Amino acid sequence: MSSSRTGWDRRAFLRRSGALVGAAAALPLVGRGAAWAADDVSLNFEGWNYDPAFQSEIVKEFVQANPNIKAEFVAQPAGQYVQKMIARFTAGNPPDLLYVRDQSLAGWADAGYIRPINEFPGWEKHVEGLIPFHLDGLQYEGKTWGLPYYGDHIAYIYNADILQKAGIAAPPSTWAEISEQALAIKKAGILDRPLVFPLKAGSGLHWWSAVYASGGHLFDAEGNPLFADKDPVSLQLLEYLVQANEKQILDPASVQMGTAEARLAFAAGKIAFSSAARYDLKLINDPKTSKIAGAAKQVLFPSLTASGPHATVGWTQMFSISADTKHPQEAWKLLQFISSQEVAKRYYLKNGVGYAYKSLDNDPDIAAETQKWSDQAMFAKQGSLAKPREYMTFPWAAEWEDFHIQQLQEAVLGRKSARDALQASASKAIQLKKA
Amino acid sequence: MRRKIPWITYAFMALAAVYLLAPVLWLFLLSIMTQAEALSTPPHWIPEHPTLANYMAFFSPSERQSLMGADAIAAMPRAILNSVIVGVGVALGNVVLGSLAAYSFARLDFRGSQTLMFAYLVSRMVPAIGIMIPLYVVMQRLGLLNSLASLIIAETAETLPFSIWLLAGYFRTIPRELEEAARIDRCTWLQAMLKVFLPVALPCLVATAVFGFMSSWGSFLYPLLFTAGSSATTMPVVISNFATDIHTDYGLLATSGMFAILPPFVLALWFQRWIVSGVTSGAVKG
Amino acid sequence: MALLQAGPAAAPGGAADPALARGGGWRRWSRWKSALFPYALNAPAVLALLALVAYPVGLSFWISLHKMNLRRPKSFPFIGLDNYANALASPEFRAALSVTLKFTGLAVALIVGLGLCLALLLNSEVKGRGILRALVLVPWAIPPIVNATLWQLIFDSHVGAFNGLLLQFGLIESYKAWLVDPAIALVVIVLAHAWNHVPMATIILLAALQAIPRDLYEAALIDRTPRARVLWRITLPWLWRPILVVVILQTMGALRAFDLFYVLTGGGPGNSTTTLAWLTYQTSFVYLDLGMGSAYSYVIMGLTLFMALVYYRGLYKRGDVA
Repeated sequence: MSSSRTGWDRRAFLRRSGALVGAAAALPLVGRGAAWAADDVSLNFEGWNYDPAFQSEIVKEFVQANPNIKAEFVAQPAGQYVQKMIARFTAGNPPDLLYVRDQSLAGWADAGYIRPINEFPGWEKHVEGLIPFHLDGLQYEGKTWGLPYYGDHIAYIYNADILQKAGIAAPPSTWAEISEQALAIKKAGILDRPLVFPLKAGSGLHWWSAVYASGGHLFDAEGNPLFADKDPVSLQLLEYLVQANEKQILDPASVQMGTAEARLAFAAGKIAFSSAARYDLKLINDPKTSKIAGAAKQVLFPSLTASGPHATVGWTQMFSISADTKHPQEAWKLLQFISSQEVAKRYYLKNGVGYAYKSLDNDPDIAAETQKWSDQAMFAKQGSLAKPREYMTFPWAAEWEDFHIQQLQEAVLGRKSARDALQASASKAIQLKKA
Repeated sequence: MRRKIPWITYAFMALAAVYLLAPVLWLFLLSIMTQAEALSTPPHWIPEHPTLANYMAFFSPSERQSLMGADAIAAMPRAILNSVIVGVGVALGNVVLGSLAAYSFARLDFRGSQTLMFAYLVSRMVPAIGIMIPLYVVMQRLGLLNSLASLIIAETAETLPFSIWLLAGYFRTIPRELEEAARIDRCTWLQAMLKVFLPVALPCLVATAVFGFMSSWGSFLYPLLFTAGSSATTMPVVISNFATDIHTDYGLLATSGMFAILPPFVLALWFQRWIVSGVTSGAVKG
Repeated sequence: MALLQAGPAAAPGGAADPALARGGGWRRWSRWKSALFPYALNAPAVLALLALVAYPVGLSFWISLHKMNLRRPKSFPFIGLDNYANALASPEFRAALSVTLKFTGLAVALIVGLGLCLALLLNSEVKGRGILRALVLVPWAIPPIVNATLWQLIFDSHVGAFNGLLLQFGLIESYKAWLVDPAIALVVIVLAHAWNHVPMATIILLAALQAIPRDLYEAALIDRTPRARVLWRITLPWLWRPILVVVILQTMGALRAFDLFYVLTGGGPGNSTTTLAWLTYQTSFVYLDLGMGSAYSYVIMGLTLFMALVYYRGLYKRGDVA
C-alpha cells in the first residue's frame, strides 16, 4: 500500500469524521419504546397504515373517556402487515387489539391467535344492523370474531368523458357491450386499449367479482372447484378476456395491475373501463390526484348476459381481540368504541371508505359526501348485491388463488388455452384440498 | 500512461453517466411535481408547474392533508435520526468486532482458522426471509424488541463476515515490522494496536464503516420486524408507508426517496478516496 | 514458531519474531497469544453470529423437518425430509430454480461486465472521470426499497418515464406494458438490480486496479505494446482474483434478491419471475407454510454454497490462492 498514491491523510480524515462520530456518541444507542406505568392497564392496538392519524385520534378520545385505561395505536406498513403479525403471534407477544383482514380470519381463528367476541356480554347488539356481506365477513365456524372497521365492494367504473367523445350514449351492462364500446373508442383514436381487467398476483377480488356478476360460482360448499365445466361462467369469462386481448381492446398490462395500479392508470385517463375498489372513486374524481376528475362513474358490474345478476365481491376489514391479551375486558371496551357507527360515519366523511352499518345508507351527510365524487344510489344498490368470497375459510385459499391468477395470466397472454388454464387451477385446488 | 483516449471511451462514459444518473433524475423530477402532473403522458421532462410543496410538506405537515401522508411525514425526522444512529452503530460494531477477528486471521495462526473463515462466509449465504421468524424470537428473548439496539446487533451480524474478510485482507498487507517496533518500545498489544497498527489500517477501517453504514441504511426487513411505532422505526419502513397501495402519492413518495438518498450519498462522496484505497489491498490479496 | 508459517493465514514471509525473545510480559503474552488469543479475538464476532445467524438457522432447519403451517401452529408433526422431497419434486420449485439461475447469471454477468468497464474508465486518465466517479456512487446510495419503487415508476405501463422516452423518440407508437412479457420482465429486473449493485463492484475492481504496480505498465509503455494487449496480458490477470470476489459476492446477493420481485412483478406474469427467494417468501408468509418455506431457504443456502465452492475450486485450479 502506498499512501501517497491513494492519498489518505489522517488529519483530514479526523476532521471529516469527527463531527459524525461525535454526533453518534451523544445519542443514546438504545431507544426503548414507551414504558408504561405498571398499575394502569395499557392496551396495544395495531393495524396497517391506512390513515393512522385518524385511528390515533379515535384512540385518544377513548383514553379521555376512560382515564384508567391507556391505549396507543401503532401503524404497520400495509404490505407486510400479515408477516409482522404472524411473527408476533408466533413469538407470543401480539397486540391486545388488531386489524384483521377477512381473508386472514379463518387461519388466525384456527390458529388460536384471536378470540371470538361471543364471550362478551351484549355482543349481539353490535352486529344487528350490519350490511349482510360485512356480517358474513366477521363470522367463521358459527362464531363472530370481531367488529367491523371498514369494508367496501368492487365497483365497475367507466370514464364518462371518453364514452361521450366516442359517441356512446349509455354505459355498458354486459361484456359484449363493453367490447362494442371499446372498439368504438379504439376506432375514434382515443385509447389504444380501453379495457383493463386487474389480474396481478394478489388481486383476486376482481376475478371473483366478475364471476359473481355473471351469476357464477367457483367452489361448492365443500371446496370442490366448479370450473372449468360444472359452472361454465369462469370459462366463458376467461375466453372473453382472451378474445378481448386478441382483438386488442384489453390492455395486456392488466396482468401486472392490481387495484392500485388500475386506479392510477384510470386517474391518468388511460382506461375507459375497469373494476376498482369503490372508494377509489374519491381519489379518481379529485383534481389533486387525478387528471380526469369528475369523469369516473360507477355502473353495475357487467355480466355475460343481460339477465345479470350484476353481483360483486364485498369485503370487510375488522378489529379483533387477540387470544393472549391480558386485558380482554378493556380491549372489548376499546373495540366497541372504535367500531361504533358514529366513528364509521366520520371515517366515511373523511376518506370515503365504506361502512358496515345499513342505516348509514340513508344518512343525509353520507349521501352528500358520496355525491361529491360518486353516486349514493348506485353505491347502495351495488352494495346490496355484494357477497364475500366463498372460499375464504379453506386453509389453502391463498395458495390456490395465487396459482389461479397465474393461470389466468397465462391464458390471457395466449400462452395456454382458457380451458387448460382453468383445469390446471382446478387440479391444483383438488391437490391442495387433499394435502 | 499517456495515450490518446479513443472517442468510444467517451461515448461509453456518456452512456454510463446516463444509466447511472437518469433514474435518480427522474425521481428528483417527480419530487417537484404535483400528483396530477406526475400522471401526464408523455411525461413532462421539465415540470410545467414545479413545486416545492412535497418538500415543504416534510417541514410543515399541515401543508398536506393526504390520507397517510401526514402520519408518515411526521415520523420521517425521527426515522432518519434512528437510521443514522443505527448506521453509525453498525459501522462502529463492524470496525471493532471486525478488526479483532480480522487481526487473528492476518497475524495469528490457530487451529481451525480456515474453518472459522469459511463459517463466517457461509453465514452470509442465509436468506434473511428464511430466518425472519426465528430471529424475531431471538430478539424477543434478548428483550431487545422495539429498540435500536436490536437493529444494530442484527445488522452488524449480517455485515460482519464481509467486514472481517475485507479487514483481514488489508491487515495482511501491513508490514509486521510496525508492531515489532512497537513491541521493542515496550508497548502493550493494545497500545501497539491503537497507536501503530490501526492508524495504518485507517483507510480500510473507513471503508468497512461506510459499507456497514450503507447496508444498514437500506435495511428494511429487520426494522419492520423488530420495531413498532415511531420510537425505533427507521427510514425504509417509513418510506414503505408512502408506497402503500391504498394511496400512492408519487410526489411524496419521490420526495421521501430523495431524503433517503441524500445522507448515504454525501457520506459516500465524502469518504470516496478512503473507500477505494481501503478496499485496495483487501480485494487484491484477501 | 513453526506454526506461524505453516497455515494459510500466516503472512507471507513472516519471520521469527525477535520481540518474542525478550523477557517477562512478552513471553507470557506470547504463550497466551498462541493458545487462546486468536479465539478471544474472534469471540465477539462468533457470539454475535451464533445468536443471530446460527441459532435462527438451526431453528429453521428444525422447523424444515416438520409439517408446520401457521394456520395450525399447534400441530407440529416430525416428517423428516418430506418437505425437501416435496420441494424438489414440485414443478413450482423447478420453474423457480430455472428462473433463479437465469436471473443470477444475467445479473452477475452484467454487474461484473459493467463494473469492470467503469473501473477501467475511472482508473484511466480520461477527462471527466472525477464526475463519473461521483456518479458511480449515486446508485449505491439508494436503499433497496427506494430502488424498487423507482424502477416501478420508470417502467409503469401507463405513466412510466421509459415509455414516454421511447414514444418521444418515435421508437414505439403507444405505451407498452413491458413487464407483461416474461423475458422482458426478467431483463427489467436484472437491469434494476444491476443498477443498484454496479457501484459496489466498481469500487472493488477500481481498488484492485489502483493496486497494480506502475512499473508493469511503464514497461509496456516503453515497448509500445498495444492497448488491448496490455489489458489482456497485464490488467486482467491481475484482476482475476478481485473479479472472482465480486462474482461470489454478487452471486450471494442475486440469490437472495427479493425486493425488486416484490415490487415490480410479484413473481409474474404467470410464474415467469418467480425465483426461489420469492417462492420462499410466498410459502412462508402468504401460505404460512413455515416448514416448507424453511426447506426452500435451505435449498437457497445450499445452492449459494455450492456455487461459492465451484468458484473457489476454479480459483484453486488456477493456483492463485494466497
